[in-house]
Amino acid sequence: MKGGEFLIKEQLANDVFVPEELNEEQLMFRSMAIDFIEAKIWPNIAKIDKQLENPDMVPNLLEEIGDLGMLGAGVPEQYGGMGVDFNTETVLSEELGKALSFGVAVAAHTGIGTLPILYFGTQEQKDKYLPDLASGKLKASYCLTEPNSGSDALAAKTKAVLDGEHWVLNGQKMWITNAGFADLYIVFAQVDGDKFTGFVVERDTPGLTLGDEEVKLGIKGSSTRQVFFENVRIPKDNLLGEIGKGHKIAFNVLNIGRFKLCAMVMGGCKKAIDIATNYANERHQFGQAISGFGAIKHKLAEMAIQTFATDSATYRVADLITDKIEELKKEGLSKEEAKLKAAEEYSVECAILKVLGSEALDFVIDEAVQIFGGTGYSEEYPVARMYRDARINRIFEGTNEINRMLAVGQLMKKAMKGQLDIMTPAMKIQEELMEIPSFDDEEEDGPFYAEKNAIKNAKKAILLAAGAAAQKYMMELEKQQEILMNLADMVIDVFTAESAILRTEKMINLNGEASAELQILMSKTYLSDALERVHMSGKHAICGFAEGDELRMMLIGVKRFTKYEPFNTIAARQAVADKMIEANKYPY
Amino acid sequence: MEVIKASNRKINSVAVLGSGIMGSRLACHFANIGLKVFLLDIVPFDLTDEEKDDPKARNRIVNAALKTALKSNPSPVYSKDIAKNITTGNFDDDMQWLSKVDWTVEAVIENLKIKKQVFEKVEMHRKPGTLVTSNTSGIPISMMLEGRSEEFQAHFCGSHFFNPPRYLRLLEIIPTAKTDPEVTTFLMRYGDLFLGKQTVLCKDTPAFIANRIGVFSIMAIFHLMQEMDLTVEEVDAISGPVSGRPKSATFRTCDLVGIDTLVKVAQGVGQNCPEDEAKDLFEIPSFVQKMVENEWFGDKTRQGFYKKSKDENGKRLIKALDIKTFEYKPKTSPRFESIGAARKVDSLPHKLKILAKGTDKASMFFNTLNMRVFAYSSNRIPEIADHLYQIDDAMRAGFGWELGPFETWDILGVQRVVDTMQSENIQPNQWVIDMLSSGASSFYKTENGARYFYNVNNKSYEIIPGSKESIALNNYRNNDLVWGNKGASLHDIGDAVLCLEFHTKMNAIGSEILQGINKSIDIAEKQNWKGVVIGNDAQNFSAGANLAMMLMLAIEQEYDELNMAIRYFQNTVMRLRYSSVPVVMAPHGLTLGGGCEMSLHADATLASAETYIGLVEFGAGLIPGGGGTKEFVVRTSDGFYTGDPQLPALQERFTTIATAKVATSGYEAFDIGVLHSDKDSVVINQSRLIAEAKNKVVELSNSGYSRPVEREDIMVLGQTALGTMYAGIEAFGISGFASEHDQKIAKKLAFVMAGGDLSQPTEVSEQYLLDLEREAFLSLLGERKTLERIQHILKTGKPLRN
Repeated sequence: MKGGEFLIKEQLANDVFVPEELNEEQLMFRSMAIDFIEAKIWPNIAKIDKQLENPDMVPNLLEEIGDLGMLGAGVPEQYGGMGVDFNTETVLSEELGKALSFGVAVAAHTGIGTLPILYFGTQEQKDKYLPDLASGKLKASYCLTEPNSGSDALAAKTKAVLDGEHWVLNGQKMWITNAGFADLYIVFAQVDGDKFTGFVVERDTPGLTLGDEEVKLGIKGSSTRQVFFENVRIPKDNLLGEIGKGHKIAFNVLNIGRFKLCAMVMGGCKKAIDIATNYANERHQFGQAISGFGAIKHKLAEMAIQTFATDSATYRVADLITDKIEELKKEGLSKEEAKLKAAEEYSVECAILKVLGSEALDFVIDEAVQIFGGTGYSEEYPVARMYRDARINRIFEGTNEINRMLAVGQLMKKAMKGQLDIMTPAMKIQEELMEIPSFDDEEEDGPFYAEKNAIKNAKKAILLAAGAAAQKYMMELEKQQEILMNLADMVIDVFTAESAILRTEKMINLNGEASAELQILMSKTYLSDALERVHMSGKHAICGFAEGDELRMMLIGVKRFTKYEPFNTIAARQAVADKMIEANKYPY
Repeated sequence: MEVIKASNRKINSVAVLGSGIMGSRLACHFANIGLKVFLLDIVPFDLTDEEKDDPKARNRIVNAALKTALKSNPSPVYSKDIAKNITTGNFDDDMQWLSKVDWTVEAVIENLKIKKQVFEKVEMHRKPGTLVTSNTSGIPISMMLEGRSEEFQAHFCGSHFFNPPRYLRLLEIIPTAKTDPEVTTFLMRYGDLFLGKQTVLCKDTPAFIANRIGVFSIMAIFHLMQEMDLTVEEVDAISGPVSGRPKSATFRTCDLVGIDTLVKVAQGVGQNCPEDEAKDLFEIPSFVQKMVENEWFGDKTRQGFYKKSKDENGKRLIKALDIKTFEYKPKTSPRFESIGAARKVDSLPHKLKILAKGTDKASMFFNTLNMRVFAYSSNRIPEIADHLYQIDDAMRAGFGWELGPFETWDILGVQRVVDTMQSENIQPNQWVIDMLSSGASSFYKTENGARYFYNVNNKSYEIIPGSKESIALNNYRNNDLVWGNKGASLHDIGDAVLCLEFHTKMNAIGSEILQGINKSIDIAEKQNWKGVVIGNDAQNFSAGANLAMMLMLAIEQEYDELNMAIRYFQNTVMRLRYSSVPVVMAPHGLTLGGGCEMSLHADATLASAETYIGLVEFGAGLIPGGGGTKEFVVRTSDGFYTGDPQLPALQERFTTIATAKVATSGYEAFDIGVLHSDKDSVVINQSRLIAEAKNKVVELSNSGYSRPVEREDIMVLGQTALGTMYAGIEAFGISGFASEHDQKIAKKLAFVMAGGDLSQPTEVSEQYLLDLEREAFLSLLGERKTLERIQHILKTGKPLRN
């Protein structure tokens, strides 16, 4: 299954990876991470946030977790890392997502901080820096954003001028994570005015100064500062990658960054659900635990359902990337090149996950605060902090708006390049709309016949709307942001619902239907709601550009393609909540 | 000698000499327009002695020819009974009839000696002052003058019709130096107004205009395809509708015309035009020569560039000739990027620009061919025509080109093409260069709805004669629309008249068009316009209501929406009738279902002679639901006279709908009751249709138009008719002529036409009938078999019997 192909192809349940299949080694890593976070992070969670009072706390914790090998998990063994597989990295990210600010510090260090050197560094650069980055002795930071270039990263103004054996950097970077304690900065600057290029700058280089800690809404434990470069002279060899190819570094590491962000926020969801379920069980009103009330059950269940779906989508993509890495390695690529290329192949899926996960977390934590009621608003309880900390995820690693446009834009590009044949199925849809459906009862085939059919149809709804929009606007479609948002929402919903269904089907295949009773309810509930949303998004998009009979016919089409049998989501959510209440946590 | 003034000449009867393919069909077309026609041919040479006195036997050739013509498809006659106006005879016994006719058209074999003999006989019998013309396509007209009197010569010229003369719109008029100008003027006008032709004034040069340029183009293709190593199918893919040429493109056309015929014309030009700069191109290429030797002439020998055969499963298989190996291979569907891109856009100019800009083989072929044809055409002025528009007119009307060479050149940019030509060493005529350097950048321009051409003689733009009398909506494209949406545009066509143009796919009627009609009437009423013409220049007026949308709504069981959609249609046709300005409909080509229903409601309908109109809903498993059924009931009721039996009239109307009858011409539309002699009429020259409709609006408005009063006096028969009609329907079912579903639809139709099951004949309102009609229509949309019929029509274009 190639990147983006989910839109036109059906993946078989047995070909997806489900987190239930994680092996012992992977689970061992998980428990190691859990132990560390429970022992070292949560008891200090308030202290970590007061970083001005405890400036050494996060760097020290980074070194501690580095000692356990977790900062170098993804770094190859030859550079002192552990070289674990991609699924293990995903598991670690998930757990780190429960560590709030500290998780952000780790992610910035291991991801955008370390990966540019691992992927684009010269052999010398790798030998010089990677072992200490893997151990945590060196801490890294990534300097892309500037006061006037955020989403429009390539418009950066920081300049680099070659002066004999040195590059001289001048400029200003903003919102730089880990800036306060980093030893190494990955910096992007323009050479000759418009050649966007990466550099490695060491902390003690004269001319590099830091601004004050930003006072932020959340993730207060994460160091965020401006970084100033005033005639910062760095050796010529600290050029990272090629001149003018900085965008490759900047954007490619973002694919993996987006994927991992999703894994992290999904961990955050699970943590929030655990806390909220526990509270709902303990808090009594009107003579009973509030978890017994339907309104609360609805919340708990929906929190779990969205998390379950996100979880399913995350591991589905992790597996796709893993397979692609193996395939590329067989073709002779190094592991690093393979990983980079694999993530690039699934850039659409990575963008989808980023939006999906960050919005799921905001939903989940918002409901957690609500379940806590007044106490949720108090700093005494963890949910207030989590609520604040969650919000940044919709902003960094590319805002969700940018990622929505990216997801659709990439799909369209793949179609134009002929990598993804959207036209043939889109044409068939036109014909199919004129087919008279059988009014007889359909023979059902398999436990998820109706659901899989619904997914198949929902994809047609996307192709119908996207195809017509592309035909109408041609190259101008990328300027129609509202329509792109609608299309992206359709794509995200369908991809996620399909992931949940596939995961559940695989569970049934592995352990039988009885064992997956609740997963069935969760995935059906998610699907049922998702189809309503797909219908609405499709309707908005189509009304935005079509008129007259064409509009009506397409609306009928979208309506037809988002049909699903009536499903009792109230009963389904009750069953899911009951299970959560019993387990006193996120149950899967 | 005094020659009758063109404006005073009348034609009541015509003689056609020679009943070959052209002669017989020409006779039919003269009869079509209401003339008394004499068709004559030779007496058979092989008569037995007893046959020699038998007039039947002596007319065997002409009678057989006429019979074949009448049976041919498409039909040469507007309606079957027209043939009764044709009297057949022979050259030996009946030449005295020529003394009774106003015009004698010679269409005998292409042999100068024989033609001259015929003219000698003609001169013996014709009445002085009457016209004589020759329908030759190759023989110089001047050579036919020898031995004829001065008076004959003054009334004689060439009149070159194209086969089939009813349908092909070109008529070339070729005067000689001796032809009186009044005769030429008359024929140019008569051909246009009465015969419905695009008349083009030609010079007496070999092959005249259309064949000269057309055959040059074909010969250029023959040579170019060899230079570029293209296959027959590839050339047809490029030279078909995508580049504004007919569906039959190049080689299907060659097969239809006959390769031998083509070769003859090409050789004729080659021999008779020793000065022609492109005479090398008129050399027959060896592969064509070989085809002629093999007698692979095309359709008449059952193989030419294509050959129909069957595959091993007995399925129809079309094979194409490989001109290198001389083998027939299964026809392929070539793909070119440029053609694919051009097909995606709607307008021809846009398609042409895409083709011209491409870089693949198809584009190279397109550009090179164009340049050669452009250069050749420019060099033919003033040799074959004084004015460039005459060449364009001839190519459009005679060869089915959507745009002539100069029009195409304009679209591609005269200067741009000239630049490329010069870099490829193809020289346009100096006048083109002069035109460009004088600052005139195009061959045509449009101003205020009139079209101007660049006059090569006096180097200035002049209005195209007749351009003001016919209205081409294309000439209004640069003006601001009065109003418009995606499916319809409202033009100001002058004299305070509006014209609503449809432009949906197949001009199917959907919400955009309905909105357009309501809006244009609103605008006309409120802003003081005289009235509205509903007409367009597309191939077809309208294929009917948007069935696809009805099907989709029906599948989704959106009956409320459907009900609203149908009601909207009904309200719109009622608005056509009950507005305070006159609305005139100008149908042509296919005018089916909903398109027909609109015509039924207009204040007047001016139909092109080539209008194929009818209520075809039955084929789609429906009954007319946009006021068509109602209108037939109204017309039946209006035809009732006290004491007459009423049921048969109703049954006749019922049968028209139940058999989905389509008139094959504007005239036949009166016979089937779709056009009404009180208010409707036929226009023979379609290019004048919108102009005539506009005149009708002005006439209705000036003679004091007021909004009609809604009808509440429609006599329906109720149960008295219903029982008989139901019984008739069942009888049809029993005898196997009507399927069960046919019977169901027919009963619904009968119910509406009887006005429901009222216990006695009653006067009802239009709305009462419309409600019945809509209810029946809706209920049929809930029938699976109806949906299957609609689906089949959408997929195949043909009705399904189920």
